[in-house]
Amino acid sequence: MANNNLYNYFAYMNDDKFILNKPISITKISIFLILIYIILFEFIWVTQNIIPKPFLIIDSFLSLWTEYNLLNAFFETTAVIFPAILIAILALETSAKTFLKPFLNFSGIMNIAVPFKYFSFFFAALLLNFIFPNSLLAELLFAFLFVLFKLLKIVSDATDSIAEEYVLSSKFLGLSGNQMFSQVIWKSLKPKVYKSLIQVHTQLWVAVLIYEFVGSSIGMGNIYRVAFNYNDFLAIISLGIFISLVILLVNSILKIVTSKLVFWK
Amino acid sequence: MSENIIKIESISKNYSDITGYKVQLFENITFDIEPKKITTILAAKGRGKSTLLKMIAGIDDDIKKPLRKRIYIPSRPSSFPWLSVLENITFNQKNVDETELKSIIKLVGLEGYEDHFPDNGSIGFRFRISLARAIINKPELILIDEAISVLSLKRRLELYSIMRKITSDKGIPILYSTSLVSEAIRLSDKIILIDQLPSKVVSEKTILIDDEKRVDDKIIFSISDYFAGEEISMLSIRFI
Repeated sequence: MANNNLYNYFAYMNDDKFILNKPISITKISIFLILIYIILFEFIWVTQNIIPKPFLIIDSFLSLWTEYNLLNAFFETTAVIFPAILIAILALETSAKTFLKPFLNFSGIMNIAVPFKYFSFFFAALLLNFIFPNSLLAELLFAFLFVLFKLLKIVSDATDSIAEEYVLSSKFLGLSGNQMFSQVIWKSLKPKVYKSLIQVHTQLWVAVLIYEFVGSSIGMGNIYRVAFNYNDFLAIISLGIFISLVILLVNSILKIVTSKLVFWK
Repeated sequence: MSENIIKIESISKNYSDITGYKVQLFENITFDIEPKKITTILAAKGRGKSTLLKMIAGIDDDIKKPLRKRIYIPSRPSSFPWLSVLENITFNQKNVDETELKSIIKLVGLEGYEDHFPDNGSIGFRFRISLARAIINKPELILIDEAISVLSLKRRLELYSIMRKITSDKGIPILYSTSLVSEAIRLSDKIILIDQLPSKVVSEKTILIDDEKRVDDKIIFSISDYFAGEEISMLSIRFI
């Protein structure tokens, strides 16, 4: 643990001494960049018209709530994203054995999904939008399958790293095959699956926004489309900032929750 | 508790490498494991100690399964980090005798740590859990695969003492494997020296030392007291 912490520090030599510096946090970097942006474009370089001024963005952000009905759109999008993650996790937790068995018995089974690598989720979004226009349920199905496939890929990759000593021990301690799947193999894979949730959550936002952008008349992706139609550049920027902040906040919560759920890693 | 001698008879094993070349790993390995004693398999790395232990433990389909339970402790920590010490020890156990459980926890030195979760880095701590978990299963034999060789001598001496108590107090024989001569001498009642390819039993040594002397770090045991000239040259090249 101590060694890992050391690697997180930047060490350099100075007068024959090792000096260990703490890495600068993302929050500090973000605050620094925002300050630079405000000072530069609000007070110093006021004549330029390409990059929007901070005050205009704040103004545009307020108009998102009044003119674009951001609150409704926010609930519509999050009503897809969070349940999709939750259902996918529950599906994995309750059927771990069913999902794991093919991965362990047929090495490389995920290769059957290789042809779909070139069939981007963008086409799946188009197809579902075409077949089920403006359906929140179809969007939820799309999001659920997106998360499930991402998590299954992580489970499949992680099966190579199952500790042999755990499997051997459980065998000698008299565990049946089914018990071994649920009590040992799934438990040893869980940290990797749960730690990947942050990445999957971020990717899901992109996927759902694209889904809503290409055809749906609901959600935050739809706001993007309307803003594009009205040529409202400021709304696009301020909505982007809002979504980034939401993703950042949820990722922070996920980090805390996963660290409690897989406390042993 | 096993009061009978466990006979390991005529273990041989062949395997084919990736090129299809057939290799004989063991040839007719035969020895006895005496009750309430620690028997150590001493061999250089790469001589198939782990495979041999797993075969004796009954994991290999080629040989007859033992009639009674044998517990194998792998070389890497095998206690489950998602379970507490107590949950690890009583893992897959029904109707645990509380008095017996307490005495086992005391024996392995985990008293007061029942609610702790095993840290991945603490090999000695996790080894104690594996020992307790093995004892509570009441096996006829515990097989330990070079699990503590990486620890400092001080920590190893503590664990040698615990292992010797397991054999004397609980009556469970231990089959240990190592490539360290000093470890084999300090820990064992009997050493089975395995060498050559295919691996075979070269010699068997009975070690008679007081328990206090075994765990005294000031005493340096002379190899020549236990091994003949030919064996010493073999050991000094490969093991020291």
